[in-house]
Amino acid sequence: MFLKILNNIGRKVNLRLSAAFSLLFIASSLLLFGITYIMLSSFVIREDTTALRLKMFELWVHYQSGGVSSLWQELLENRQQQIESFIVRVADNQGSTLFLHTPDIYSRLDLERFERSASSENGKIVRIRLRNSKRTVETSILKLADGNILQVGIDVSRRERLLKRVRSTFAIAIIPLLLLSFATGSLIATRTLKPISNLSTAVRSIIDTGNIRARIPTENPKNELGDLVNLFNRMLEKIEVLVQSMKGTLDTVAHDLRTPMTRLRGSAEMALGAPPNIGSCREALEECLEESEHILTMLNTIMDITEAETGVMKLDRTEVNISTLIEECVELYAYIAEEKGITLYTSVVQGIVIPADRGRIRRVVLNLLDNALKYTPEGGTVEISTTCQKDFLKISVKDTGAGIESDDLPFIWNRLYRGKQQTDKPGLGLGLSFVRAIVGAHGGRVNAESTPGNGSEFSISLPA
Amino acid sequence: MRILVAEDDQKIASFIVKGLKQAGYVADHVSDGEEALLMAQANPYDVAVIDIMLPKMDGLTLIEILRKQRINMPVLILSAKRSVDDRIRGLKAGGDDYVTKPFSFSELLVRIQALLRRVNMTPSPVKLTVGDLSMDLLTRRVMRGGKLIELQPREFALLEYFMRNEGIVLSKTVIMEHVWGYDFDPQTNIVDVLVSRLRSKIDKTFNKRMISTIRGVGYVLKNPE
Repeated sequence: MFLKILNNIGRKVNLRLSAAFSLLFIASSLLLFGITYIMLSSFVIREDTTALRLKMFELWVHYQSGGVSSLWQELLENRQQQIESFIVRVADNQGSTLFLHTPDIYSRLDLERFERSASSENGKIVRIRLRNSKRTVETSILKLADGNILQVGIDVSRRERLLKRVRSTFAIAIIPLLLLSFATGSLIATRTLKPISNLSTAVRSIIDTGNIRARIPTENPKNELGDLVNLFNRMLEKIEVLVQSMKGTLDTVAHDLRTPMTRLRGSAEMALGAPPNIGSCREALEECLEESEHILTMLNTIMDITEAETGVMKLDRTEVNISTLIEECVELYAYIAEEKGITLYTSVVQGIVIPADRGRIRRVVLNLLDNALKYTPEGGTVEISTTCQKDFLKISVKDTGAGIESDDLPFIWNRLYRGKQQTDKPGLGLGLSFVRAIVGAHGGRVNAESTPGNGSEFSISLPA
Repeated sequence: MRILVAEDDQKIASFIVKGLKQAGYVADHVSDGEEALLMAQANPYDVAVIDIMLPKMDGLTLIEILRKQRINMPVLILSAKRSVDDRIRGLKAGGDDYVTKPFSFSELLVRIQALLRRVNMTPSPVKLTVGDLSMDLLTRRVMRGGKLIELQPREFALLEYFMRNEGIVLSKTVIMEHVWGYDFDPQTNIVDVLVSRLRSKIDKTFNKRMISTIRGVGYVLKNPE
């Protein structure tokens, strides 16, 4: 149902666009035709009117000079030269015809109508249709000095036919034009709306299947709609990262906080169930405190990792002198290394300053050192060094520990992953995951190399 | 010394008040922001412990109003949020220190005492003494039972911190903060290592041990007599 409505809306937009396109096309055609028609018709009408007026003036001159007979003379001459198409009539002031001249083309003149049209005022042009000859005539009158009326008519049928032809041609042409414009409109609309319909198809499939991995194909990534699709894909990517990371966090919380919680609960329950004894109660309470501390640390680290991975973490970037930072970290671990009988070497390039979140990068370095010292046996060495690469600063921590099996190597950065042979070592299993998340949030990369039995090298590259 | 505790969770409030009373302070408890404001206006407190999420008026607003009214006792903020931003906001509003929940009481106490010291400006002594252990801060000589003890700089800093807070349990976090100047959870056993080194120097050859471990909480230096 929902899909159908979506579909309909898509189609409607398409339809509306096509209709708008056709409407615009028709309106502009009409305008163009209208202007042309008005110009054409006013031009031909003016031609006729001028001819009528000229004729009238000419005939008036003849009448004035010699009355009806002179008029007759003139008209006869015209007829012989075959340039005659005017109807000429002279009437008295009562309106009864004194003289009438009709060219041959009017086989029988509809006199009554012609006479009636003479009742209008001086010089005004009247248009009449003659019933019997299907011709249109324009006529005008002139009051003569003797009180009679001179009426001249001109045949405008040709002009009328021409204009009618123009009109009907346009009317015939407009129908295919209309269809063409609608077809073009809908073609353009469909093409334009295609990325949008792709978008809605993809969104629909995401909503229906819950598969946020789906992406929308881009046809032309350069135009505005392509840009929209790209943005949409990027948004999907971000959502995917967020959702995956949330899932990961939930899994970790659900699975791995249960263990310390169980221990905590167990301690308290055992102490309550045993016969009252201050000593064992104290011990149980101490255990509870330790476990709660452990849970808290774990929770904080999980939250940091999630924030860093989802891009929610706000990094407090300042100019950080990396060599100083590393020396501080090494100083912190000097005692531990000494206790464990491990030699801790540093070979750092002095004076390198990179933009980074000091506190978090320090924790990253501490985690790497902690890790290396944890897995290196007595008498081993741990070396921390920096290398300047193009645009990147690489910090590596190399140990002479047990090393990591190549099967395990790709997974060591995952949350709570611990190599098979290392399950006995203490640790949260979150350290490397934290390192990767923070380095990632800085726009850097992590890398691990290892030879089982010889040691491992963990390195991070931070943008300089 | 009178302390105002503004905290709406009854259980947390009761353990803070109880602990403060045991430590010899007078503690008044209020459970909302408006009441806290009234109490602070009416009484001269030496320190206030204020939770950020308080009913009726939140902690930050409360602190801002107090500061505007020139009520300038040191304020320790309690918060369930642990992000750096919240800490900065709290300190900007006029707080003097910040503790995230869940916290250990000993840590709270250490911080309150540090705030009290800051205000009272007791001139720092040149010589610290606990039992037969003495430390000269000028010559940096440490003696126990007439015997000179050689300490490395960090060990010296740790012992000084212990001696200044004689009898108070110091958590790993506060030790980290004072000895190394880092405000983060160590998540390593650095503090334990340093404490055990210090212990081996000042306790090993003596019958009575001064530094003891409080499991799950931290360490304390006490006069064994």
